[in-house]
Amino acid sequence: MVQLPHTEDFSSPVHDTKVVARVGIWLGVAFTICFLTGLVSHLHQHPLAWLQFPATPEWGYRVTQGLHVAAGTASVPLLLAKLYAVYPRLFRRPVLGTVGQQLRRASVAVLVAAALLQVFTGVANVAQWYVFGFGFTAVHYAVAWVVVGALLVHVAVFLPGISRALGEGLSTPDEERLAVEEAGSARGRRWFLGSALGVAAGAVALTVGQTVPALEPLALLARRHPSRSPSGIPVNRTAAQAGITASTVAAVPGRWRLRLSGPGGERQLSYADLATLPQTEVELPITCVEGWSASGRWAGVRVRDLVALAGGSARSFVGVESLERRGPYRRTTLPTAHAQHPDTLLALRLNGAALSVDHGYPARLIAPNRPGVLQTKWVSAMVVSA
Amino acid sequence: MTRVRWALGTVGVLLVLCGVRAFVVAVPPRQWPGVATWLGAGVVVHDGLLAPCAVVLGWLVLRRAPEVVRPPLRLGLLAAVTVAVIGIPLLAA
Repeated sequence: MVQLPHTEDFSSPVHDTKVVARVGIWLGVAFTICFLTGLVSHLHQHPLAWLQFPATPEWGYRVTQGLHVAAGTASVPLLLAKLYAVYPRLFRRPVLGTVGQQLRRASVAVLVAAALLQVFTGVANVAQWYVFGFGFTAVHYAVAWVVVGALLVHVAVFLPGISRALGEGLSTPDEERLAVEEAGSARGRRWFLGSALGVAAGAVALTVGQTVPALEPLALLARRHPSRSPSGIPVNRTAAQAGITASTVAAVPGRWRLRLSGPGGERQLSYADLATLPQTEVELPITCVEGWSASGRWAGVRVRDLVALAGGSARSFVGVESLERRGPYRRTTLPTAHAQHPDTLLALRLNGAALSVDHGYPARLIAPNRPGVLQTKWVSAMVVSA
Repeated sequence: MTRVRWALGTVGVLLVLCGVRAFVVAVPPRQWPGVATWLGAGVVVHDGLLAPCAVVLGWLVLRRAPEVVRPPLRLGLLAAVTVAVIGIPLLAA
């Protein structure tokens, strides 16, 4: 019969509270960055009436979402190190104990389960590996609150131990007395903490090139490499995935029309009509929720001009519809600030050539400071509000 | 410190409840069993498989290794598992 170990059976120096508290702080910082930047991303996609993001700075979402994915990536080794450091406590006796001890165990269980799910779904989503079989965004958003809440409860429960551990050095008083013999333990702890930080930094270095061009050659653990992508911009959702068929595309030059409606009525604009309207070229990044971003030179018609053409005003927001048949982002709403920004285009061209089908031919939306999923491709209709 | 602890704990419980509410509102009930399974699976896989493997590996290797190389070996294992966690989804997708 195999006996479960006891907490005291684990002799490695890295299981000490001094290590646990310090890794915990770093993991807490990473989770806090993830939570706040994730909230920004959520609010971009589900704006509140009283809290609309401005269209500037154009790199805003690029930075917040880049930070979100980088901090999430860093939390992989930090979480592993933290859980390894506390692992012996799983075997505390008595197993059940008093009500207080049971509650304490339960609070840790909630935090660990939620944190593991959160980090794993994030990593899998960045790789576009949808193994979990549930909708990513809704679950990742809800569990984020659970993680942060459980984290605060966790700090509340263990605060005395945490503050004691942080107040001391990495050696125990005993070790300081027996300096020579036990110096290895303090060294082991210092190395373990350094390893957690070092591996976290390394994991970020090997992935962040998907959004920081200078580090792209290092991005061995990233799925997206902008400079090696068609027209210099990765494609997250291809035309085929969106159900855009060859016949849909072939109909564009002759039969495709942009249905533009607003207070001034409805009109149909052909591809040729759009091409004869005043064209603007802007340099704007496109940033995906999965953490990659890339800058492109986009050319097309200012949305502001289309709003005016539809009889809208400086207060109008714009509903945008795509040719794709299904998908949560088939219809999006362009807020007023973005609709009025001079860089917001209904783009027809990217980096000097007509859009490719995968990039949204015949026309796609491009606006500053906005998640890529809302930069609607294959636009079929625009509805301008009063 | 007691007051700070109660304040942190109360805010924490409220945030957890916000999460539960967001979950109930936005996640269709037919997906709930799947989420519950993955929540449990994470703990089972980590506590029942990953961590014991690391502990056994430490017991087999670190105990026999000279004191001076133990910390770098721990670093190597952490790096390897991290690369696996990030890399396997990339290969599997």
